[in-house]
Amino acid sequence: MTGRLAFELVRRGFRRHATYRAANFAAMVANTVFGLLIGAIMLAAIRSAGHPIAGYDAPRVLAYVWLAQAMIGPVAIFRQSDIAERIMTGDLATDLARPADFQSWWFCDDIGRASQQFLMRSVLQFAIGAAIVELYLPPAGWRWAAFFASLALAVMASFSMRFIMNLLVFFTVDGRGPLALHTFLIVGLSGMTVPIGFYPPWLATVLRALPWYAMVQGPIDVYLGLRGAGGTLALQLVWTIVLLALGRSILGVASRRLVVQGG
Amino acid sequence: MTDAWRLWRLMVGAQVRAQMQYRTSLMIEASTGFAVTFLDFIAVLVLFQHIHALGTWSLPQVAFLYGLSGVGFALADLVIGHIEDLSELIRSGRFDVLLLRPVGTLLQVVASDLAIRRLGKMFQAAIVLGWAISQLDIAWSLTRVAMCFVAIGCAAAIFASIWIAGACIQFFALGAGEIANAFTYGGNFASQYPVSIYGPWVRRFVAYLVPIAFVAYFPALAILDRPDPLALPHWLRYASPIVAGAALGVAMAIWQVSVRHYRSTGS
Amino acid sequence: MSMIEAVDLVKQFTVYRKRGALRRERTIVTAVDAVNLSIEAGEMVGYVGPNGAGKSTTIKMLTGVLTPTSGDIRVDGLVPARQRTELARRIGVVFGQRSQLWWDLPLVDSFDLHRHLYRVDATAHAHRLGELVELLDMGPFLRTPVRQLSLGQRMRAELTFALLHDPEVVFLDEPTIGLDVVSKARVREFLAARNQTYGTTIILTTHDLDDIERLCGRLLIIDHGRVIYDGGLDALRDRYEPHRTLVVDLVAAAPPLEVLGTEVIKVEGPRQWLRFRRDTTTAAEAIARVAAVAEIRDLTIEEPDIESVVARIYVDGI
Repeated sequence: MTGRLAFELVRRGFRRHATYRAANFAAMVANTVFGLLIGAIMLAAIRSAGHPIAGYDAPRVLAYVWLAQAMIGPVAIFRQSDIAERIMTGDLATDLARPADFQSWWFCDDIGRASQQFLMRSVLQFAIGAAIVELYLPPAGWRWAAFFASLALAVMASFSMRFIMNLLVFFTVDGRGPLALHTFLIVGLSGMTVPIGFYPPWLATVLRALPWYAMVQGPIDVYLGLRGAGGTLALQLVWTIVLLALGRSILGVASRRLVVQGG
Repeated sequence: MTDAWRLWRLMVGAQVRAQMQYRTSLMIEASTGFAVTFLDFIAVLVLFQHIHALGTWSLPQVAFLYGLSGVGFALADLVIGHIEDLSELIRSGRFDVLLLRPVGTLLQVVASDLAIRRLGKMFQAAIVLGWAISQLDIAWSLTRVAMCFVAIGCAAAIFASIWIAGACIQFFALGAGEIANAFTYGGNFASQYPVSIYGPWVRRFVAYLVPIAFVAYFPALAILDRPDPLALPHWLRYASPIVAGAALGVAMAIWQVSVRHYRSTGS
Repeated sequence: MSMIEAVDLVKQFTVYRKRGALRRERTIVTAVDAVNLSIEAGEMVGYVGPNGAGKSTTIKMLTGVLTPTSGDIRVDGLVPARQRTELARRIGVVFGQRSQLWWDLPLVDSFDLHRHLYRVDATAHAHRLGELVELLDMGPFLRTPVRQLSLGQRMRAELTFALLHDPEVVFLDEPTIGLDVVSKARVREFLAARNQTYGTTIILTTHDLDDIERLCGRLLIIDHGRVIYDGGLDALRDRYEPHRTLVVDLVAAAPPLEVLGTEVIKVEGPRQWLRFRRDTTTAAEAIARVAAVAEIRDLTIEEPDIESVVARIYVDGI
C-alpha cells in the first residue's frame, strides 16, 4: 500500500460520505435533540444527588453528553456494515483479488469517512451544544491535543473492531447476528448510555480494560481530565494493534476458505 | 372503518405468514431487541445508585414511567414502525404502485408489515413495568386497571402519530428521514423520565407540540395518584385519550397533505 | 363521451440544480405540453415516444398517480386527480418494470388479496381467476413465491392481476419488455383477444414497435411533451414511408437492374433490393417489369416497418 494510494482512498472515503447532505443534516438534528434530552436528565440526576457524581459536576456531565453524541458519527456507533454487505453480495472474492491489502484499503476508507463525519457533523454539533449549555472546556492546550489524538485512536479502534465483526458475517448463515451483537456491545460497554464512572467501581475498572472503552469513554476521560491521558492513549493503541492483528488472521482464514470453495 | 380493519388483518396476516418462515432469524432479532432495550434501563438503574429520587420520583416510579412508555412504544413500533422505510418505497417507485390501488396509501403502508421481532422490546418493557407495579403501593381498582390499558393504548397511538408525521418528511426531503428519529426514539426516551425535570422550554414542547407528556407522565400521575411537582391542572391527567385522538387526526392530515404534494411533484 | 379524454393537459416540474457551493438554480421543465387525447371505449391504442418524451408522465396523470399542472382529464367519466380510489377500481395497470404483486408471498396470495382490495364478489372473482389461469397457463406456478418467478411468468401474473376486477380500461407500460419471442407472442394474442371479446380499452406504451404493429389500430406519438402524430398505422406508413421494397433472387448475379419506377438500393450476389413508390407503381407492375428484364428465381415484397418510420420521426421530427 503506497502513501499515494492511501491518500486517495482517504479522500474517496471522505467524498463519498460528504454527498449525503440531507442525511448528515438529519443526523445532526437527531443528535442535537438527544443531546438536549440526555443532558437534561443527567443534570436532574446531579441536582437530585446534591453533589457531583463520580467526579462529574454539571459542566462535565454536559460535556460528556455532547461529546458522546458528537462521537456517534466518526466512531460509527450505529452504521458499519460496508464490508458485511460486500460479503453478503459475494463481492469479497473480487475485493481480495485486488493487489492492494484488503484491511489497509478499508482502514484508509474509514479514516476518510471518519474525517468527514468529524468535520461536517461532530464539530458543528458540539459547537451547538457549547452555545446552548454551559459545557466544560479543557483549560490547557495540551489536553485538547491529547483529546484529538485519543479521538483518532478511538476511530481506529472502532474500525478494527468493526472489521472483525463484519468479517464474522462470512462465517454465519444470516448476516444480522454479528452486526447486532456488535451494536449491542458497543452501545452497552463503551459508555454511550451512561458514564462508565457511574458504574460500581469494580465494574468500571473491568470496563475500562476492555476495547470498547477505547472507543467512546476513553477520549471523553482524556477530555475531562478524569483519568491519565498517557494511560488511556496507550490502552487505545494497544487494543487497536491487537484487534487489527486479530482481524488479519480472521481475514486469512476467510480467504483460505474462499479459495477452497472457489469463491 | 371495519373495512379498513379487515383489509389490515388480511394484508398483515399474509406478511406474518411469510415472516414465520424465518423463525430462527426472528428469534435472534427479538432477543437482540430485548437485550438492547435492556441497556436503556440499566442506565436508569446506574443513575439510581447515586441518587434516591429523580426530582421527586423514586426508582419504582421512574420504572413505571419507563415501562408504560416502553410497552406503548413497542406496540406502535410493531404496527407502524416500518413506516420509516418510506424512503425506500419512494426511491424504488413502489409507492406509485400503492397509488394505483383503490385503497388509501396510509392504510397500505401500515398494513405492509407487522414487525414480530419488536415483541422482544415489548416483553422487556412489560417486565420493567411489572417490577415497578410490584414495588409500588397502588390503590388498585377496576378503573385503575382499565386506566393502565388505556394509557398503553394512548401511548401507542401518540407514538404512531409521531411516526406517521415524521415519515412525511421523506415526501419533502428524501434523505432526511433520520430527523424523525429525534421525535420517535427521542420521544420514547424523553417520556421515560418525569417531565418535571426538564426545563420550561422542553416541557412546553413535550406537552403541546409533540405530546410526549401524555404518553406516560400524566397517566402515571393519575394511576399512581401522586402530586404533580409542576402543579398543572388536574384534568390533564385524564386527557390522554383526547390528546391521542387529536394527535392521530393531525398526523393523518399531515400524511394527506404530504401525499398530495408527492402527487404533484412526482418522484 | 369518450372513455379517455384529455384536454390541454400540461405537467411542469421544478428542477433544482446546484450552481457552485451554495447557490441553486431553478428551472421549470415542461414534461407534457398541452396534450389532447380522445380515446373511445374498446379502442386499442399504442402510445409511443422516445425516452423522456412524456409518455410515463401522461400515463401517471391518466391513472391518478400524478396531478396535472393544468388541463382536464376524464377517464371513464372520473377525474383521476380527485377520484383516485374510485377510478382505481375501474382501471387495470401493468408497469413492466414495477410489480404490483406481493414479492415474498405465493402468487395465489396476491390474487386473493386482490379480491379484498378491489372488493370483488367472491364467485365472480373465482370464475375470472380460473379463466385467466387457464388462458395464460399459470397453474404450474400458482404456489410459487412471486420473487422466484421468471419474467415471462411474472408478466402473465401481472396481467391477470390487472384484469381480475374486469376493468374498463387497461394501461400497459412496457408489458413485453425482456420477454422471449414465445412469451411476447402469447401476451400479444391474449391482449388482442381480450380487446375483441370484452371490449376492454387498452392503452399500450411500448418501445417494441412490433407490439404496436400487431395489436394497435391507432398510434399516438409523443415527443418533447407534445403529441406529434395521432392516427392509424397505415396512414403513418403512407405519409412517412411511401416506399415498398421488392426483393428479387435472380438466377445469376447481375449488375443493378434498371427498371422503370424502381431504384436498386442494395445488391448481394444474385439478390437485389428494388425500391418503388406505392403511389406511382403497384407491386404487380414492379414485378412484371423486373421479370421482363431478368430471370427471377424467387421474390418477396417488404413493407416499411413502423420501427424505421418512427425512428425517422424521432430524429427528423414531423
